[in-house]
Amino acid sequence: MTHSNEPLHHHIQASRDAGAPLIERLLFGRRPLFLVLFLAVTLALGFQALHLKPEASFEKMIPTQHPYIVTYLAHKDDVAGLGNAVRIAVETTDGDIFTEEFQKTLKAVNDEVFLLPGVNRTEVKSIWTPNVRWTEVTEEGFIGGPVIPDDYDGSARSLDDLRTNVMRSGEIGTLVSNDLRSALIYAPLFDLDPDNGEPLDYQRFSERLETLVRDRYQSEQVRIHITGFAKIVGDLIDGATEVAVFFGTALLITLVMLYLYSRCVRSSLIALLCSVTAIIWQLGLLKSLGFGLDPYSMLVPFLVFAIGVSHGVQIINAVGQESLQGADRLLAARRAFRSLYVPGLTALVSDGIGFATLLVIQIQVIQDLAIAASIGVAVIILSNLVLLPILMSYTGVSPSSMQRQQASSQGAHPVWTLLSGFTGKRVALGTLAAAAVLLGFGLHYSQNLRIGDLDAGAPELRPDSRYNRDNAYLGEHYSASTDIFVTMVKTAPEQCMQYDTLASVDRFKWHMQNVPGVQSVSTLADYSKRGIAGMNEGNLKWLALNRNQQISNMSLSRPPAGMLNFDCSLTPVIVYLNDHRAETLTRVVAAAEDFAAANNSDDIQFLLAAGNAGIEAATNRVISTAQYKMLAWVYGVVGLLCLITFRSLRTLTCILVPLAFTSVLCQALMAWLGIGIKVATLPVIALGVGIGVDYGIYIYSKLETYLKTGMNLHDAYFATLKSTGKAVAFTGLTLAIGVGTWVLSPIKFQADMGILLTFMFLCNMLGALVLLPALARLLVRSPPAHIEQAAEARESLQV
Amino acid sequence: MTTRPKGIPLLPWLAMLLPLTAPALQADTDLLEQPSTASPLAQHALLLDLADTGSRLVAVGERGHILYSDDDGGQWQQASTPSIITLTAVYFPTADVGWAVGHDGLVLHSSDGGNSWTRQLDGFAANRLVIERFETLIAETEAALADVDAEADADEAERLQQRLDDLEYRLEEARIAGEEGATKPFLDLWFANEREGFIVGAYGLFFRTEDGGRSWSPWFEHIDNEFGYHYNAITEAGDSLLMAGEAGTLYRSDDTGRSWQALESPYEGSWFGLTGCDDSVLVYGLRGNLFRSGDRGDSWQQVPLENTATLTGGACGNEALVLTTAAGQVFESRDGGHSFSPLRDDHSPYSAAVLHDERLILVGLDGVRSLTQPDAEATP
Repeated sequence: MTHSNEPLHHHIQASRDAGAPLIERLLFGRRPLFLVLFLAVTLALGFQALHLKPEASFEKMIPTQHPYIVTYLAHKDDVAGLGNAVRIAVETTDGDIFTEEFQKTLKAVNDEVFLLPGVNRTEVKSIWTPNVRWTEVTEEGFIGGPVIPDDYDGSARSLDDLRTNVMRSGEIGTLVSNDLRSALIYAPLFDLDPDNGEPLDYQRFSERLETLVRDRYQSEQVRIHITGFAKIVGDLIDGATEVAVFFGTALLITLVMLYLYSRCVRSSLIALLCSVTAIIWQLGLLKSLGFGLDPYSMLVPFLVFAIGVSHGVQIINAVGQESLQGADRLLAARRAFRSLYVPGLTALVSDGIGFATLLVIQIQVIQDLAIAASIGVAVIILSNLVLLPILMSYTGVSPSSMQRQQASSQGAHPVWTLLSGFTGKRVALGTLAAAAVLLGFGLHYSQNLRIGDLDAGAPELRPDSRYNRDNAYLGEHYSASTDIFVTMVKTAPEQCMQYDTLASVDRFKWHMQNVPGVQSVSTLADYSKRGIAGMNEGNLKWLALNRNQQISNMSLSRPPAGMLNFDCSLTPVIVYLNDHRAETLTRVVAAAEDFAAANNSDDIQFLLAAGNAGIEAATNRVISTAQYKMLAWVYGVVGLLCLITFRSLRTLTCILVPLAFTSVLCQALMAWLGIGIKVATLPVIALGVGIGVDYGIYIYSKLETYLKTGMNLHDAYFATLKSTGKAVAFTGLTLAIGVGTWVLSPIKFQADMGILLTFMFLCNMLGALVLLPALARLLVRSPPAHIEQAAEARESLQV
Repeated sequence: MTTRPKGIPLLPWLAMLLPLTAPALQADTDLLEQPSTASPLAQHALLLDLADTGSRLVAVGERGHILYSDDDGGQWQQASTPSIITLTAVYFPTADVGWAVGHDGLVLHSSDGGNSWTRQLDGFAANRLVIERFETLIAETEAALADVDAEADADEAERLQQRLDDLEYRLEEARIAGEEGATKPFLDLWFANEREGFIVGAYGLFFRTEDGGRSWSPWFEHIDNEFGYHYNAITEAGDSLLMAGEAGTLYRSDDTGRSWQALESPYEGSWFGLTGCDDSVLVYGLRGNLFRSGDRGDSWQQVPLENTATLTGGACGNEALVLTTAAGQVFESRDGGHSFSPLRDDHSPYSAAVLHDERLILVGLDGVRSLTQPDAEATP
C-alpha cells in the first residue's frame, strides 16, 4: 500500500464502514486473520473429531432417575448373572442334531466360543460342556453323567447314547431346540475383563462372533443364530456407522439443490464447505467435552448441516442481490452480513432454545442430544454467519447466476401466484375448513398413539434385521421369551433361602402368573421345589416348599446361576412376558406393585424392576409424563419468543396454529405407522417445532413489513413469497432431505426419527406457506393505507 | 369362582383378577391360614390326584387348588379352600363326603361333594397328637414296668425297660419334629365310609379316624416301620387293605386297618402307587417296576413294560386298566393287568388317572386332561 493511495483507500473504507456496526467492522477489517484462525480451529477440532468413537450405552437410554432404574442400578451386580450372555444356536437344515457331522461342527463352535475373550468360561453351557449332565433316579439314588458320552466317537452307537442322554438331561427347550434340529451354546460374559479390569468392548466382541463363528461355520447345511445383549450393542454400533453413507448422500443431494437454487458453483461449494466446517466443529467440541457419538446424537450433524445450509442460502441470496445493485464483492458480503446477522442470530438462538427444552426430559441420550444440537447451532453462528460472508467477500457470486437471479425476480412465478391465492377470503375459509377436517382426523388417529415399542425382538433394530430374525428363531424353537420383567426380592443377608422368603416368593409367582400377558415365572422357590422332589425320588407329590430349613437349604445346595446373590440377600423373580407392549407392561407393573405394597416389610422387600421389560416399563412411565412436559415447554418457549418479537396475539396465533396442526398430524402419522412414543421419537416434535417456527417467523416478519407499507394482504403476501418464500421452501426441502436419508438406516429408531422429522419439516413448511396466509386473512386487519404508499412499495419491489 | 365359559376367553381372566388380588396379597399369615385363590389357570397348574365320587370328579393340586367336574372333565369348577398349601391326594368314600390331604400335614373335609372344604387337621396339631401318644405310651409302659416284679419276671422287665427307652428316644425325636413345625406331607388316604379311614404320609406318618375326622389317632404303633419310610399309597384289595411306600415297603391289613403285617416285597426300590382292580392288585414305582398279585399280595408277578420311567398312578374301569408315568406316558391293559401296551405319550409328567364312562381323565404337572376312551383322543 503506497502513501498516495491512502486517501482513496480511506475514502472507500469510510464509505464501506458508513453505518456498519462494530462487529462488522471488526470481522471484515481483519479478514485474513479470521480466516487463519478459522482454519486453525477447524484443524484442531477436526483432529479431535477423528477420535470421536461411536458408542451405545444402554444406561444412557434409560431414565436413571426413575425409582425402578435407581433400584436396578443399585442391585445391578446382584442380578448380573441373569442378563449378560450370548446364545449361539447351531441349526442343521438337514435332519436332526444327532449326526456325526453336526456334532463335529457343534463341538468346534463350542470350542471357539469358549476361547473368545470376554466369555466367562466356567459358566459356558452346551451339550458339549462337562457341566451339562443327565440324571436319573434309581433304587440307590441319583445316577448321572455328562450328556456327551465319555466314550463318544461319532459312531451310530455313541450317537444313540447321546440322544438318550439329551432326552433325560432336561435340556430340551434350553440347550437343544424343541424340534431337535438345533443346539445352542450359552456363554455368559464378563462386564469387566477379570485380567485387566477393562470394560468389555462389545463392538469387538460382536465382530469376533461374526468372523470366528458365523462366517466360519455357516454353510448350506448349518445355520448360525446369535442373540444377546452384546450382539445388539455390536449391531447397533455397526448400523450407526452406516449412517456415514447417508451423510454422503445427503451432502450430494444438497449440493445439487444448492446449485439449482443459486446457479453458482462457487457459492454452492462455499455454503457446503461452511456447513461441513460447522459439523467438524460440533463433533470436535463434542469429543473435547467428553461426549461420545451415540446412535441418537448422530442425528445432530444432519440437523446442523441442514440448518447451516439454509442459513448459508440466505447469505448467498443477499450477497447476490447486493451484487446486482452494483456493490463489489467485499461490500456485497458486508451488506449481506449487516442485513442478516440480527435475524439469523435470532432464528438460531430460538432453534437453540427449542433444542434446550429437551433437557427437561431425564433420559441422558435425549439430554445429550439437546446439548449436541445446541452446540451445533452455536457453531453455525460462527461458520455460516461469519465465515461464509468472509469467504464470499473474496469469491463473490458468479455473474451468470446474478443475471439469472435478476430474470427470475421480475417474472411472476406460477407457484407464488397460486400460494398468494390463499389470502383470498373464500380460499382462506376453505383452507381452514379443510385443515380443521384434517385436524379432526389427526386428533382421532392420534388417540391410537401408543407409548413404548410395539414390535417384537430388540426394538432398537428393525423387525427384519438379522438379529431380530435370529431372536425370533430362538423364540420359536426354544422355550424362553426374550421379554423379561424382573422383580428383585431383598432380604437380610443369608435369608434368601428361608422358608418364609421362598413362600412369599412363591405366592408372588402365582400372583404374577395370573396377570394376562405373562407367559411363565421363574423363581428360586421353583428350584427349591424341584430340589425337594428330586430328594424324594422325583415324586411329583413332593413338588412343594418345605418348612424344614435344612431340607430347604439342601434343595438349593447347588444354587442356579443368577438366582441369588453373593450373600443370599437378594433373589430375582423373573417374569417372562408375551410381548413388551405398553399395556402388557402397565398391567404387569401394576400387579407387581400391588403385591409389593401389601407384602413389603422389614424382613422382605419386593423391589421393581430389572430386565428389559422392567427398564422399558420405567422408560414408558417417564416418557408418558415427559411428553406433555416437553410440549408445554417447547410451545411455551417458542410462543414467548414470538410474542417478544411481534407483540401481538394475532400474530402468535398465525405462527403457532400451523405448528400445532403439524404436531397433531405427526402424532396421527405415528399412530398410523405403528411408531410408539419412545426415547427416539419423543424429541422429534420438539425438534420439529423448534426449527419449524423459523418459517413462520421469516414469513410473518416479511409480510408485516410489506403490510406496514400499506399493501393489501394479497399483494403483501405475494411480495413476501417472492423474497423469502423461495428461501423457506428451500430450507424445508434441505432439512427434509438431510433427515430423510435416515429412513434407510438399519437402526429402527433412526429410521423412525427420519420419517417423522421429514414429515415435520415438510408439513411445517407447507403450513407456513398455506395456513399462515389463510389465518392472516381472518385475523389480521390490513392497516389503512394510502394508495400512493402502496404503489410506491410495489415499484420498489420491481427494482 | 366359576369355570371359564367357552368362547369368551378374556372375560374370566379379567374377572378373576379382581378377587385374586385381595386374598393373595395378605402377608404375615401362615400359609396354612391363607385361603386359596380362584384362578382360571388352576386347571393348567400342577394337579396331583383325582377322585371319582360316583357323580363327579374331584381333582386336587398345588396352592390348595380343588377342582370339580360334573361332566367327566369337560368343564371344571374351582372350589374355595381354606389354605393355599399343596394338596397331594383326595378320596371320596361316598358321593358327598370326602377328604383331601396335603403338605404341612393338612387335612381338609367336605360333606357336600367337594363344593366346600374345612380344615380338620394340620401338621402342628398332628405333631402334638404324636407327642401326646408317645407320652401316653410311656406312661402306660412305666405303669406296666412298675407292676412287673423285676426279680420274678426279669425278661419281661427288661423288655418293658427297652420299650420305655425306645419310646423315650422316639418322643425326643417327635419333640424335635414338633419344633420344626408342620414339615411332613400326607401322601395318600383311604376311607371305609364317611366315618372310618386312614391318612398316611412321609416319614411314617399314619393316622386313623373313627368319627369322620373330628378326632385323629396316631396309628404308628400298629405297624412296623423302624426307619420311618414314607407311605406313598394305601388302597383296598378285596377284603384287605394294602399299603406301599419307600424302599420297597409293602404291608397288608386283614382287619380293616387295625393291625398291619409287612409283606415280602418283590422289589427293593420305592413304590409310588397301588391300584386294585376286580380280584387283582397292581403295585408299581421307580424305573417302571410293575407287579401284579391275584392273591391280595401273597405272591407277586412282574409285568413286563416297555418303560423305565417311574410309574405314578393307575386306574381301573371301562373294562380296562391304565397306568401313568412321570415322563408323561400312559399304558393300557385290556386283560386285567397281565400285559400293558403304550396308549399315549404327552411328555409332561402325570400323577393320577381315572376311568369313567368311556373317558380317561389324567392329572399331572400341566393340570387336567380329559380324553375319550378307548381312542384316548383329546376332547375339542
